[in-house]
Amino acid sequence: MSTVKLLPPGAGDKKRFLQNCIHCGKCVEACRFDALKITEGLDPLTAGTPYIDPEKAPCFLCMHCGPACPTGAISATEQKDADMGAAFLDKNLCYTYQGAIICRTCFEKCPMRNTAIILENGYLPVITDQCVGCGVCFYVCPRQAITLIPRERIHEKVRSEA
Amino acid sequence: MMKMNRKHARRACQLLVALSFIAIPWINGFDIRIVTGNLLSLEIFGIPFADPLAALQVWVSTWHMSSTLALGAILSLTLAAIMGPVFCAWICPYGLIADLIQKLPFVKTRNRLSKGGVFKAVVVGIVVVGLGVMEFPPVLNQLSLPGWYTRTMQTLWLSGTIPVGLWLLPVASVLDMAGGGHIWCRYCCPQSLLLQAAGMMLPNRFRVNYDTSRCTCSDKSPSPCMKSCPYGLDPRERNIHPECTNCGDCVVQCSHFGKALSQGFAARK
Repeated sequence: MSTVKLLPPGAGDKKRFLQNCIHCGKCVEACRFDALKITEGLDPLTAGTPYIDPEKAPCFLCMHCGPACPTGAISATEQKDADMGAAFLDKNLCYTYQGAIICRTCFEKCPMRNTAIILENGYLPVITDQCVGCGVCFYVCPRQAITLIPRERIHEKVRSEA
Repeated sequence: MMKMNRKHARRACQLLVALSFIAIPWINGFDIRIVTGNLLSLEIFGIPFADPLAALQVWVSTWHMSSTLALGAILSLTLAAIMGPVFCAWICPYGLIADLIQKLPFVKTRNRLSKGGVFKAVVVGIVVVGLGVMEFPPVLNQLSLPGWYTRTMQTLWLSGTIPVGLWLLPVASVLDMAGGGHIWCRYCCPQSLLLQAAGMMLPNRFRVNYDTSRCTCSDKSPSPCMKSCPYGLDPRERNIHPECTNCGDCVVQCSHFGKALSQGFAARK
């Protein structure tokens, strides 16, 4: 599986984001969790823009990067409008669904607990359509039962399930 | 004791900027945010500065510009309108590198690419409009050496790696060594164009003034002032070139001769 890369919370559409980002790195300096990294390499379209590698450090939705952005490439939004992607839980892998243990790790760590992840019957985690795709559950899941789809690939995911 | 002159002040200023940007991302790591960003977009005590070319590219590509970016670009252009493109001589970290390269014995101090500046302006204009119409991201930022210098320091502190783009600095340095006379700054760097254009806006601005009556080397060619100019311009020309960065090297040089050159607010002759 290829590595998932996310745009910062509030970046919205990737094309619009890249058009507005002038590579100043203020969002990366503002990031409280070292989640935002500066894209390296020599691709002139993306080098210098910020990204998140949720396998190394997910976004904890502190929402400090939006106000730091001078160009509006990252808009200053609330957590519920971060719109970075979506997480999907594979019940065939999840420890709780498989009856091994009551794990709840994803639920406990979710920055939007009780909104993006709720517990059905008090113990079964369900990712709702409120999930903004920050990647924390994907990062913490001990069973790697969670798939994270970045915003620009969500339509592919929806199509493949339809 | 060596007397402190404008040239020393300029070197000190360049060095201070170059060294500051090594420390700034590190200091930001302690949540002391006096200066944030890099030389593409900077915030000092909450006052935004932005590279006007980056702002222009965003605007041409999206027909929209945030107020912070617009204010930043206007502040940078205002400085250039009053003082000329002083950024190039006093602030730009690559300007410092290029100045030091010029001190090497085998590097020519002048290069003669007549209309090279006009050619650069036309090419950059076409590229900005063309890529803007095709809704491209601001890719000309990738040619910004002050941008790459400061971005490298950010990447180094924040990700612990050195970006590939840093290699643009030695590439430009080699070009400068081969061509001489700040060939990168004058004929390749796209960022100086808007600053030079802003410098031509006001009738009265800070510039180098030439007093013919005091000049003692009018028969020499190239004159000492011309030889001292990092760009190889002639400070005695009636219309001081828009490329002049007000570095003041010619004024310092002239102070050893007739003191015919001075810097101050004056109209273009």
